[in-house]
Amino acid sequence: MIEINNLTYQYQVDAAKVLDNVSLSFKSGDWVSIIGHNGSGKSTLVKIMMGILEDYEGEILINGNKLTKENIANYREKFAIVFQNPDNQFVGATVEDDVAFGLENQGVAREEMVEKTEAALTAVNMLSYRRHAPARLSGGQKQRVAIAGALAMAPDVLILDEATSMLDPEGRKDILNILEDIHRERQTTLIYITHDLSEIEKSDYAVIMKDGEVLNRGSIEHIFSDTDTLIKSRLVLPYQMQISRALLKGEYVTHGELVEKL
Amino acid sequence: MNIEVSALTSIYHHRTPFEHIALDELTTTFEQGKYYAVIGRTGSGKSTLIQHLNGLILPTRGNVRVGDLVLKKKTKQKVIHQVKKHVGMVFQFPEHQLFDETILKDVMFGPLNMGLSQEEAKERAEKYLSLLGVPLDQIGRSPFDLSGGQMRKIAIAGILAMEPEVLIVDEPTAGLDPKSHIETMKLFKEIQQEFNITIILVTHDMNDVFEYTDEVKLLGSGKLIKEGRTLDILTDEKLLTDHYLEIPDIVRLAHDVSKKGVALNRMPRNTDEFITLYKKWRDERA
Amino acid sequence: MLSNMLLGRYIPGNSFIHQMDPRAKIISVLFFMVIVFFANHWLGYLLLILFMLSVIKIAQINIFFLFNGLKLLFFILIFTFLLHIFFTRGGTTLFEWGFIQIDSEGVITGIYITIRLVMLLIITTILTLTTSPIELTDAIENLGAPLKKIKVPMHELAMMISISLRFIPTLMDETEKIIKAQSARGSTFMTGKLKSRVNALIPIFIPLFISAFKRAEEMAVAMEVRGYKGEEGRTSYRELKWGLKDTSAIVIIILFGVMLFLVRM
Repeated sequence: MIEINNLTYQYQVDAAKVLDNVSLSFKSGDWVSIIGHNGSGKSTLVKIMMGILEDYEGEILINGNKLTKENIANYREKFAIVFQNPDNQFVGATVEDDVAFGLENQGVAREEMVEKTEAALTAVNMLSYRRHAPARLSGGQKQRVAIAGALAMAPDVLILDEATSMLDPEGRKDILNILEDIHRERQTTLIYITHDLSEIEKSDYAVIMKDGEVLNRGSIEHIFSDTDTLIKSRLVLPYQMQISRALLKGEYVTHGELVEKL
Repeated sequence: MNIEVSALTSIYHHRTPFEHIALDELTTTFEQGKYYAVIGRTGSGKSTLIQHLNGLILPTRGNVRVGDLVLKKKTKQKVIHQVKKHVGMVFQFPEHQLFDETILKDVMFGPLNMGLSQEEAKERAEKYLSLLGVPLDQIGRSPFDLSGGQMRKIAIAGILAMEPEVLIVDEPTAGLDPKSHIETMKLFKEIQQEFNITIILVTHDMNDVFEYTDEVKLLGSGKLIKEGRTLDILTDEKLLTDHYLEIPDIVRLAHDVSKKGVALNRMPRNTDEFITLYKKWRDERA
Repeated sequence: MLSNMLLGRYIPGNSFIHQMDPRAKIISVLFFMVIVFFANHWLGYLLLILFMLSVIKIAQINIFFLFNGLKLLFFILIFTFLLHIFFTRGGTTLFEWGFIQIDSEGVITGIYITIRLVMLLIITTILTLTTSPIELTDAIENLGAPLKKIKVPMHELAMMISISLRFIPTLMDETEKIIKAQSARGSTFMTGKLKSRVNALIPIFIPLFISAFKRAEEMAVAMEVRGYKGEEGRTSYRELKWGLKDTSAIVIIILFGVMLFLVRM
């Protein structure tokens, strides 16, 4: 269980609030999507959870324990994150070196490290590329390696900060499928940050943010039942919801259901 | 101005162990005033092809004819410079090319390189910056203070200010949020219609190709697989699947509902058209 | 043009030399560099050439490919050769014209020195061709471990080298892209006067620096969230394994050195 209570943050004292009194809570094991346009505060929220940004107002509770400057290092080991740009988070000289990087930092013994690295690479279908250098991989493959690097640490929470936004449709689909497998097989809590409403179909819980505030939250059906809020948040409805809004009073439908109902 | 590509072969690292044939005897034509899409899987040769069209890469064999100018293996820099005046290119993540102190100066860079005077270049820059909705009292600011989406607009203005007759756009929406994505695509369509220029779009987004372009060139392994009307090629589900391309959402929807007996007058190009056509069909039936 | 350069390039393979411990390779190369100077007449040089040919053979490198890649360095060799021909005196005079005089000693020394240089170039190229940059870094960190005692930050140095090596292809791509983008805007750094060419570099370097700094910043955050805190408490995924083949390679090279020493005159 992760609870965020009245979180407020500004980069400079007199600057605008990037997060304004944000309160959220979600269950462990959920796939949570946080959706907002650029500058809505979604990435700032993640940076606070990862301990990259400090000096915020409000509190974050993990299973009832408050996150502090002292204990953040312990929690950080349970959180893993994949960022947007695949090139700028690839530390190792080869695929396997990169996946092992986090384990090396934790001081894991070598044999265990090899085992965990291989398991993580298998989970993202990249084992056969283990000796490849990043320059020879596609964007989607690099992001898969980044996910493997996160998985190798066996995190409780895996955060994806717009991790698909620089990929082509093939790479994007690939990453979403892999996340679905991970979520099903490992019950890892996924926090999926995106500006694209068409990517949240698989999530259990979604949060809509705009200008540092939470405008709506709940199940996918609930989120899509209020299309006005989505449009107000500078988001673009997926095609089937645009059509549903015009022809079916805006009820939540998938492609198949839409075809059924027309 | 038409662009004619004849028997174009392009080989990287020619005569080394790393030799790679990127384009193989490709012949095609881009006609003035049309909106083209070049599609194909990553590695199909799309980006190599477009870089030949303005002389960034010269052919290994064959040639590219841009109006009266011919690009061949040993074409001189002078001729290439001429070609660049006619054929502009917006690269992927164009905001990465910004460098000057102010927005205005950065946009003036291209026109000045083309030999325009300071006044003319300034005039052009202001014209296209305001066309893209950049307030003119802001153009003395540094481009690096802007958001990513805004920076991209400045970079695009920098190319438009060169007033090319052919505009090549490579993945113009990569990394943008959906709202800016739509705005950018609409912008190119407007520019194409208003100035009657040729646009050659390279993208993986089949929804955009279907909604905005007139003609499609489908590439695979350095060869031209098929060319023709967008409406014909992007509705050919088998052809797209065979080349690892997505079927446009609206095409898939139209096909699926037609199996259920919904007979739309014609193929809709976007969701709005679908809604209108569907209502019309429903009303006629009632 | 640059793509034909072999210096610093790595080509994966499975030869005996590829499989050697990178530390053994570095030590062997250092030994070899000394041994080269033992040769002082034709028999010694002949042995050196034969030895080198067998190393190339064992490393399974195409010899034409190797020479082709070193072509760019040939002008240095020719320069050295000419230097000796014109300025080394001794033996019989072979040719005289005005102030130019070529002696037999000059020709012979020129040939020998050039052979030495070629040997040194080839052996270092073989080292980089058969050893991945990451292995080289590991070996340097390992061999340099004693330096930690005098506060030389070997781990940080090795990490820096390894990340730089990893970023070189990325930055090369980026440079190419920016050059193309500016050139599409009519920038002319390939032609024109020197001053305008230098000016044309600004639109290339500024975007490149901006992007490099941004990458560095993002990389630092990525490393931090993955728990990087420096060398302390850190284990290593890579393992350097010194095997029988490494010891025997070193023994062979020492024996070869002794042999060269014995045939000295």
